[in-house]
Amino acid sequence: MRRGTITREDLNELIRRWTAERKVIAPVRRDVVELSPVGSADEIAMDYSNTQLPTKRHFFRPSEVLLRFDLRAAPDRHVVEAESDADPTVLFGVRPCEARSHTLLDRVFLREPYCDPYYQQRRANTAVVVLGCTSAGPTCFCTSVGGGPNDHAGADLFLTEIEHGREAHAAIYLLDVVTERGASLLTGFDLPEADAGLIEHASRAAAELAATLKTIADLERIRTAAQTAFDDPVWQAICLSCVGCAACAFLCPTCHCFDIQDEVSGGRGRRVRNWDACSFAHFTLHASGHNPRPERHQRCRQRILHKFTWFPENFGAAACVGCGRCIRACPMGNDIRRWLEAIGKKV
Amino acid sequence: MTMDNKNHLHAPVPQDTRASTASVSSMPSLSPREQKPISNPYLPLQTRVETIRVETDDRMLRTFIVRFIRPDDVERFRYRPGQFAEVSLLGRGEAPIGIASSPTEGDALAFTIHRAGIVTTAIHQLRPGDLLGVRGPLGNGFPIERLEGCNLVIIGGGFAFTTLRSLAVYAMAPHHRGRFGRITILYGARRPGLLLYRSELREWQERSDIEVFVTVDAAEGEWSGRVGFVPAVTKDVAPGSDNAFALVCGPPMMIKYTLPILSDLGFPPERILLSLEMRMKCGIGICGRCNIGPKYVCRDGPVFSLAELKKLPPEY
Amino acid sequence: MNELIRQIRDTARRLLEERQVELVLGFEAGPLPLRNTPCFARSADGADRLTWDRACGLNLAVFLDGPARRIAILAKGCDSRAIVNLLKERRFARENIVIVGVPCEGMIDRRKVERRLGETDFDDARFEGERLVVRSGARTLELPVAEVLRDACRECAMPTPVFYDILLDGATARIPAAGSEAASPADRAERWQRFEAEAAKCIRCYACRNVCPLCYCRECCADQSGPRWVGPAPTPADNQVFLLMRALHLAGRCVDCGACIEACPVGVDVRYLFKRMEREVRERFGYESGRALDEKPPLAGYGTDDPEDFITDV
Repeated sequence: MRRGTITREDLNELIRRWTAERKVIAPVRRDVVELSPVGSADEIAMDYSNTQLPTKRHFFRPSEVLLRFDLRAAPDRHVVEAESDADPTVLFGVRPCEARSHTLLDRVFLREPYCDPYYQQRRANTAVVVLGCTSAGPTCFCTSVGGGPNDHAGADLFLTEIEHGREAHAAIYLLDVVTERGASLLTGFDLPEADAGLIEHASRAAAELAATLKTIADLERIRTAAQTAFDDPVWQAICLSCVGCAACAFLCPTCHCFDIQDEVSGGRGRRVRNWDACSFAHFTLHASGHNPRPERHQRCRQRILHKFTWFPENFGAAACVGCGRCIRACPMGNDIRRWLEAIGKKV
Repeated sequence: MTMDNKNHLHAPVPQDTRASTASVSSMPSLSPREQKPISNPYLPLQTRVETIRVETDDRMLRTFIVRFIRPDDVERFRYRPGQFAEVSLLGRGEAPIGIASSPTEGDALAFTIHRAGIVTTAIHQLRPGDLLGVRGPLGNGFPIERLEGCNLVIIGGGFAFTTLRSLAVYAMAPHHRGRFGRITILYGARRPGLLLYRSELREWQERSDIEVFVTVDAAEGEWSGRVGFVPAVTKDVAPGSDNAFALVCGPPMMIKYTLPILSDLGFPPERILLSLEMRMKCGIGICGRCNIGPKYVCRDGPVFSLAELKKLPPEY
Repeated sequence: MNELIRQIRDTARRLLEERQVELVLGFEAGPLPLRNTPCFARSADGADRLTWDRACGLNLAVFLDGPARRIAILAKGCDSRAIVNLLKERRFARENIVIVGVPCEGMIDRRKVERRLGETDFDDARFEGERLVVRSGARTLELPVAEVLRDACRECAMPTPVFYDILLDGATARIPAAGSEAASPADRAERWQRFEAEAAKCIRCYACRNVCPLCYCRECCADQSGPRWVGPAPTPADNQVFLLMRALHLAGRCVDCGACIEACPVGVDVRYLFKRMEREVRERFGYESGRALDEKPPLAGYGTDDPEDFITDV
């Protein structure tokens, strides 16, 4: 891995170049910080905690046309595959937990023998430039789930601010070239090598920051919860104030459930997939009226076990990056860290 | 993946085009135009309805015999008994339906569809010549290779006999019959008018190379066959468990009372195979809807052994 | 511990000890600043967790149809009006609930705090008199409480519960709004633009619906698939239909408690639509949602003097 240093000014120049040839999506401070296509580097917020919504919506759209159809066409031409909108994109300045979530989503959407072409095309056409964390938000727990402020998973380029600078344009960053794709973003740009002292300084700062993050419940033990605590009353206890909305799931960078629905008008229409969530009662409702998870606590249990037991079993890691958005988003103030602690005591 | 022998239960045969789904990291390209298009697992293959047969006297079940519009789709849709497809009407949506035909029966597919929700109700309005989308084949299907050389005890109840029919027809086909030992079929419905595939059942009963027991919970009309619940008839017939597999599909109550009888007859949980139904959408293990614990019924199932199910949470 | 919290805990403890109720619904400290979370107190210990400040903006009436038979509920003015409406709609028996009225000083709109910070994250928030001191990383912001109160609270005419069994002693404050912040722009195009912008944010997580005590349908129109009234996609058009549908279904029922606005994880705020419906019902039928138990909900009854012009009015 090549490691260089770059000034904010040079970085802005790079961004200018990127915006000329592809879409650049970056954090922008409006009411709060949101991901948004940007036209220039000046719009980008580099001093933020985290974006309101995660990056998953860039790859896995809240609503997405899978296919279009025209019933008035010849029978073998009824179905038209949806056109790809996977334009070359740079996802710039996102947090390490976001980039890590992409590697988790990959395991689901790109699992052989089926590959989700919509996700795959966007993923293949998007370079991810990560901005390492220099401070932690109140809901951050990335180190408990294998991530960290300096986690390079899923990053093509990784930026670490090493000098804030009195003026924004005076900031200096360490720039790690993590992948080939990352290197291709720097074509024609002469990246000065970072000296060992700076690298050392940056990794020490990240380690110090990581050390301030509290480790939540023992996730290795929680992995056994499906076997040892499946019928424990703890599930009823933790979800007392859950109202069964999907704020947690829709703001989760790794939740990926969806529904497929047809929309039609005058013989033409679309087959669309929309985000869906296991917290909704009708999620598993059969046409016969039977529901395998009719109770709220069963649905909360599904969400937790899926993330911390079954996803690790199938894909080798927890389906959680510790961004804490679900804690912030829960209208009732439920806290997944508290839930996991309570469950951990029962396994 | 789902059974004790990994080789026998794989997901649908990967097509050449599907095999090109390389991981993202190996694809540094930033231009979508340069990429080879990958096969889209959400696209239905178009079929035309050839024949529609009303199966039950309440008209709630109909069998649709369909044929692919594009001849090369037959090759793309090579299936085994026990697999299912997402059957769809454009504008209405998709429903997961077990494949009732056997690959030994030629290029046409058969789906026996219960009118239950929006999609299946709309499909029931179809007439011969209409179009039906089919996406698949999906799921693991019955582990034919493992069943080879063994006796088959096929136990079905009500509407859930469809993929068992596929298996039975497959095993009875002249060039397959020799691969299996004794074949015993037990099939029951609430009353005679609700039995599926009635004329076929009569033909099967004439055959000397299989044993067929058809029963109803309550007789009516000119019914002269057995009367009794499937579990009771199973106990009565007492199929031997030596070198045998029991393949069970039916309503939850039937399964609940049949399983202990099979255990009493000496069937180990590894040799009792069940096919499950769940609400599904994608059918390929992505949309997250049909899981039972870590297993997705659409991808890891729908066929599970009782031994596997005992390790899973009772959420089905 | 302030006097009001002491009263709340004493009352809860007494109700539980005297076995008047099985459960007291209140608030306890949540995981984040300005985030009190529902407290389900079943014992003296539970009662001691109860707390109160200006971050109790959820409407606990949403939990009244749970399995407990006899429930006490802490109710602000707006919550009490929701309970009145639920009683009118026969959601539960009057004798099964004990309403503990809490005079309300107005609740903080967390969104306003976030907007002032430009961040959704803040590490700490505390009240110093009429100021809210918020810290986010190295930044500290001092905000006059009046500036970050909910619009609904700023305009609230009934901060003291209208209907209760026990009324606690506490201050109410009404900060008269400079002008109704809920007013819609007079210009049609501007109105549409505003609605479009709000609806575009919606991700259809249904937090708004699920925290609303009056949104209790067993099967919401938004979930029904046969027929499909509201498209399920989080697209502009379907979102608009969903928000309008909710506003219509809450006409004459919404108590302007603000829970739905607080609940929205992406900051959708269509309070002005709900206020507009409220005004329609007030002006046409002289009815105020939740004011009194013996007033008939106009949209659930028929009167010979009901205005009819809405049928022909455009």
